[in-house]
Amino acid sequence: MLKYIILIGCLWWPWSLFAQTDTVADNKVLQEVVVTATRNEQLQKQIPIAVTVIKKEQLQSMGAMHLDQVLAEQTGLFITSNHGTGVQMQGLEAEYTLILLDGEPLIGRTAGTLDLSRIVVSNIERIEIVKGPVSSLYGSDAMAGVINIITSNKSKKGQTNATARYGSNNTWQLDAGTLIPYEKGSFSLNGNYFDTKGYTIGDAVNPSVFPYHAATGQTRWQHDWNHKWQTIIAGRYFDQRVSGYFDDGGKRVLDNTKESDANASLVLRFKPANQWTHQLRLYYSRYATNEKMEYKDDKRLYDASFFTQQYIKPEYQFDWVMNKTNILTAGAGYIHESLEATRYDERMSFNSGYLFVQENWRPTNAWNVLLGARFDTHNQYPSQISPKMSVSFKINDYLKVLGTVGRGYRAPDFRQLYLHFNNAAVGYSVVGTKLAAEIIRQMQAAGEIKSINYDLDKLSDLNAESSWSYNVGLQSSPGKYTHANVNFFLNRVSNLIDTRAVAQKTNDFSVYSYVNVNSITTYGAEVEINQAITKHWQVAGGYQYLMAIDNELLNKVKSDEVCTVDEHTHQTRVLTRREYFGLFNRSHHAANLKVRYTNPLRGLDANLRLLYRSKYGFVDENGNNVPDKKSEFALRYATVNLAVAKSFIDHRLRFQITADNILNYTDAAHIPTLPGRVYTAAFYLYISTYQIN
Amino acid sequence: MKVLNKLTGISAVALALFLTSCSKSDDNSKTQPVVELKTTTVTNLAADTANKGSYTLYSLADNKVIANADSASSKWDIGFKATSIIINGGVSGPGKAVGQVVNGVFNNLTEAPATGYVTDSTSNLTFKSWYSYNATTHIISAVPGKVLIIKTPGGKYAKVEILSYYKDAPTNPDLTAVSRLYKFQYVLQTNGTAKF
Repeated sequence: MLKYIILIGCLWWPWSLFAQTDTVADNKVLQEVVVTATRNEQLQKQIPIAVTVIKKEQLQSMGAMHLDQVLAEQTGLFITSNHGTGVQMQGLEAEYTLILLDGEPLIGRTAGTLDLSRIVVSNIERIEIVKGPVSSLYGSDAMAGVINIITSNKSKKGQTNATARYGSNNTWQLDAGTLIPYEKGSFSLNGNYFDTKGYTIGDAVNPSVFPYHAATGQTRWQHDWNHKWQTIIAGRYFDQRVSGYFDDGGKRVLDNTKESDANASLVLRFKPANQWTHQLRLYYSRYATNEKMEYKDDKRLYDASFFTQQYIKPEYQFDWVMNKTNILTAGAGYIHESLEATRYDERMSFNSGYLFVQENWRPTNAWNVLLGARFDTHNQYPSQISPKMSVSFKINDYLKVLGTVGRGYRAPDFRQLYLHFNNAAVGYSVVGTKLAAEIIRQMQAAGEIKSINYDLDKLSDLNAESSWSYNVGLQSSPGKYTHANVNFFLNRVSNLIDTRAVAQKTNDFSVYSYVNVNSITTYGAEVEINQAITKHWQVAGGYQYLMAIDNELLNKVKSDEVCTVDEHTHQTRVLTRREYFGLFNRSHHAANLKVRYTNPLRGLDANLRLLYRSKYGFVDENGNNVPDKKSEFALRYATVNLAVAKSFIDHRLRFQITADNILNYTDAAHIPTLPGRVYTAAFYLYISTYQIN
Repeated sequence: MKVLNKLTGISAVALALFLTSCSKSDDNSKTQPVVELKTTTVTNLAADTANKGSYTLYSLADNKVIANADSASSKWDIGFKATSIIINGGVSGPGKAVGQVVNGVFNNLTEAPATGYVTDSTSNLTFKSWYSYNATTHIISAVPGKVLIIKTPGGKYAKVEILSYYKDAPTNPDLTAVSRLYKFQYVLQTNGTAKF
């Protein structure tokens, strides 16, 4: 099954690579400047919020091609697949994590999840991850956390790079980029082309991943007109084509999907004085899919669907460094979103406006307090206020305590408000809450409704899902070469939106809509340790313990209302509190161990990553809403990934081999996104041209 | 020829079923003759295995299948057709049976509820919530802790628990398992009270 490597070449941006690797466990880690947690540039070690930073050099060292591969290796993150590959954070599913590209939200959550595999890694400068809600700055979706993908390169060195990578499953990637800095700014251009033949796990009938190819282009122009005025213009375009198929009634149906994603932004920055910064940001994004299914034989149309979402956001922000102890940030914005899609009656649009304010107060060197709140008003659901407070205290040079309390929310999506779908083949209907009353009354007038189970007029009161979240952590650097972090988290999410049968049709099938019902609680702890052993060796380890609980279901378990069938006696009995495993798709334990060897003098860089995930509930087969039977679980598993690179000619040329999933672990039924062992080989070519001082 | 063989096979299996399927666990009834009720387990009861659209009608009192010719009588209590379970009442039969589904452990349920009974209607079979269907594996599982309470046409209370939908009740049935063969257990209180 495995196709062996033939390789070709890739080239990266070795300047950062080599700058960073002089000392392996550099204390520079904490000198990093981060933006995501506060919306302005601050030293990572100073802010009262833990931010995980993944640097370009780490991305290169892994040899990853797509964002999901990178995030899968981070402590506390799980890759999940539900209409796209997303990431589970602090026990909350993918739709609760906001994904930003250079600070602006990516769109295209067709069914909640934003597909991370459409983001190529090659031109990412760094990734910042903030766990816990940041709705106080970003509004909807930032409930579990925020992942900000930063591509802007501030280097003053002109450079051009090219990469070619080839690997298993007939997968190849070509990538090229150039950065042209000049005295008052810089211009960059990147292009990426990816093609794979897909794969089939084991002897499954159909491929898990069908052949597809994708192209991404990105450009950015930054110009400092004078020391007060700056403009940044950036754009990105992504286009992907998937060629799949399936069989229906013995006939093959071809399934071709086009997906495209465009983003454009304009930033105008005005700094009248050192302590004042005004920013005007204009952002536009369009996401579209177009799926066409036709019979292979006679090209007869089987089904076709499309989905087009547009998003426009003007926003203003100002930062005021009032004095040594206070920084005030405030802003306001407006969002217009629209959607046209199959299963929606007409073009739907959303309007929302928001205000946010944040005060950063540093009364002494040891204390740092961040207070913020955001107010979102929306034309389709109740207004939301999302406050947040973070405090950190530096006990000594080696130890810092951090704590955060905040509210997060996730707005009802288009589906939940406006879907209008009649399944003609089976007979049921699904209607969004804004349309439900009208549509059901029409059906009733037409004699199609037998009974109504809900107060129809209350359906349109659907509220956003919201959470209160608590994080308490410790950051320590007991030695120059040791860093350790601990974080305890608790998220209480209420008003979860779920489908309910709101009416019964005369054909005995139901009409479904969406209501706020359940509440869940997730809690756990995360530990990360990073240790440099010698000049060349570095070891890092991470572990997360997680419990995720459906509160209503837990109450039922406590009052002995949930039953299970005993594995040994085959008799029905009450499920005990201890046996309640928690929500599906959550592992209680996850761990990673990373060992890295770097020797810049010899141009060597090798790393081995071990990732472990304990068993998790996968499906409820017997209808008691809890994972209890053995067959309802996905087994615990481990994967091992290896990457080795050697640089030549003063780091201008680099050759890398990667072997992912060396143990060749597969589980077609539960993890279709995990192919067997995959090899790739790559050439990186890097040309540095000139330096602007 | 092949078809004939198949039919012979099926009828042989069916015959065997009727002759052997009902194992009674009535060991206690002789030593404690007063109130101890017997739990009857029925295995591999065919529920329209030939897909003809007809119910297999069952008498709990007699612990046997009632011929479809008697469907319009009060001889049967409960009927099975694929995943559909009917009771002899409402739209399903003339027997005025009523029932409800109670959550709990079969053995621990000592008394049938006093209220809450319904009968079959076109939109709602009384016992429709007994199973769960897995859309990925297409396996039908009995939901643990669903106890079907029925007041039979004879006015007697019975509690019924479905244990399996597959031949010989495998622990983890897969797609090769033969479906529409019920395993269930029941207790019938013959003295007219609601106590089990």
